[in-house]
Amino acid sequence: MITIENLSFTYPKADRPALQNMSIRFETGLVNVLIGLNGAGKTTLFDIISGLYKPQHGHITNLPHIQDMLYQIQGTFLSALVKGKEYIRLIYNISGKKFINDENYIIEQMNLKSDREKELLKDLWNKKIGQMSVGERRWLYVITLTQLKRSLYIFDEPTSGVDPSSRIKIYKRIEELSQMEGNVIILSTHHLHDLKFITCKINVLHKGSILFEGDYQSFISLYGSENPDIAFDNCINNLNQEVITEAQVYA
Amino acid sequence: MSLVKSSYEFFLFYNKIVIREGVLGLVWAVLVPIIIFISLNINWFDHKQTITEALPFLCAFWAYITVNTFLFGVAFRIIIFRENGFLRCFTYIGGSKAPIILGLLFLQIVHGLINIAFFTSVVSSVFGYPLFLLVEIATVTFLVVSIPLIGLMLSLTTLSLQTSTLYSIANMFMLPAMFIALYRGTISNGFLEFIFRLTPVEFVYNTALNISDIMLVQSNGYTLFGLLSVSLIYLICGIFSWKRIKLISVTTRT
Repeated sequence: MITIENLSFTYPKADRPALQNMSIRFETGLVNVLIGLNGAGKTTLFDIISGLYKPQHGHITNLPHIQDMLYQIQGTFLSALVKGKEYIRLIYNISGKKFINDENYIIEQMNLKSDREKELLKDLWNKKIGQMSVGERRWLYVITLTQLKRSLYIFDEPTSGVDPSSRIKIYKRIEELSQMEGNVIILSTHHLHDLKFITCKINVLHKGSILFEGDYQSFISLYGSENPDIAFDNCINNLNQEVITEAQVYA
Repeated sequence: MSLVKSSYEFFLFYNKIVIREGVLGLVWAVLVPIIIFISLNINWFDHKQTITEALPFLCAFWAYITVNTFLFGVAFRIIIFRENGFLRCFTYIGGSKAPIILGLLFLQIVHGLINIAFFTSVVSSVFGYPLFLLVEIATVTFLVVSIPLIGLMLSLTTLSLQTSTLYSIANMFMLPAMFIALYRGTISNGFLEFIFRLTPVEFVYNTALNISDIMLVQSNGYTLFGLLSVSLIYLICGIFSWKRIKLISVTTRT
């Protein structure tokens, strides 16, 4: 478990703190999900946990060394000219995993279960990154990274731009990682409906502080809607236990 | 995972990208100095210079090619890697930024050696100078200056510079710096002379002249002490900069 206590951080020249006296616990055995509006401070928190920024106040306990940490960042970063297999090869070879230039071996080694995923990997194997859709790139990226053995995994919006079918598979893959002993998984997302199907703890980050910590059922119960997007809206507007219909929200 | 193996993986990875980006870019990088060299010295066809007379010109162009290779291939690339998130992402995958940078340095050393050997072979053949001797001087110079120059380039990457800024500054100063090295002569003011010698193009130019002296058993008055001092300054800059190379973009969220 990783514990953060009274964490505060303000960017240079910023007029308000990105994180303010924030306390949170990231547990093992489940997926710790961080949700919040754009600019709520999720990536800042990840950058602090991963050691890119030093907290100005507060402290973090039980953080592993950088070599035992995996941080998947949001942005695209690869040359469009690189093929899928070359990308997998690089990731495998720099992190000590055995790479064999055979897609069937990699499919088996990655333990891809569905036919669609197997077909997708075969399709992307010789395809250049520039020819892949944003979702395909993200899928390949996340699925490859989940093969690496670490004790802390940070996924910053791993399903952004990914189709619903692949999204579920990515979440399931991440959930499997969380079941391995001692692993801490932290994930940020804007796809709240998918969280219903995984064992997770939701943390709502708003204006630099945590508004809610708990499981999916508690979240929708407390914020009065089966629709997690509406529950989230209620949460950040401090409207707990009031039932607001979807029509009212969209109005 | 050994550092050498990881660095080699990055070297192969970059190499594929560079080759796919187009051989034209690589050829152009070496064709431009050849065209400029031949154009500037076109009268050598009528009034052939001795090798001793030609060497300062060759040394100046070697300096230009070498500094260009490391400035654009190391300093620029690392800044681009930082800005597009590549450095941050792969540091967390590989556990360290060292193999990402070492792979790049190895790539530039290999490509730089090919460039400088090709340039020297072409101009030696065109003007009828001893090809193997000149290629030997050029490649030895390149290898000798590469480590200190890399130190200097790493220190450039610690500045919060955008690539566009660095690109403009580099383009403004590179060619004039080559001609200044070639034509300026010695200044009586010792401090000013040292400042000039501290510039990378002059450093490579003077090193090349010294190596030519050693390999041709001649003397033209340059001292090794000055070059060693500059090398040491560059190396110290690089060593102190290593830990300060940022992983986070200074302009964009990645």
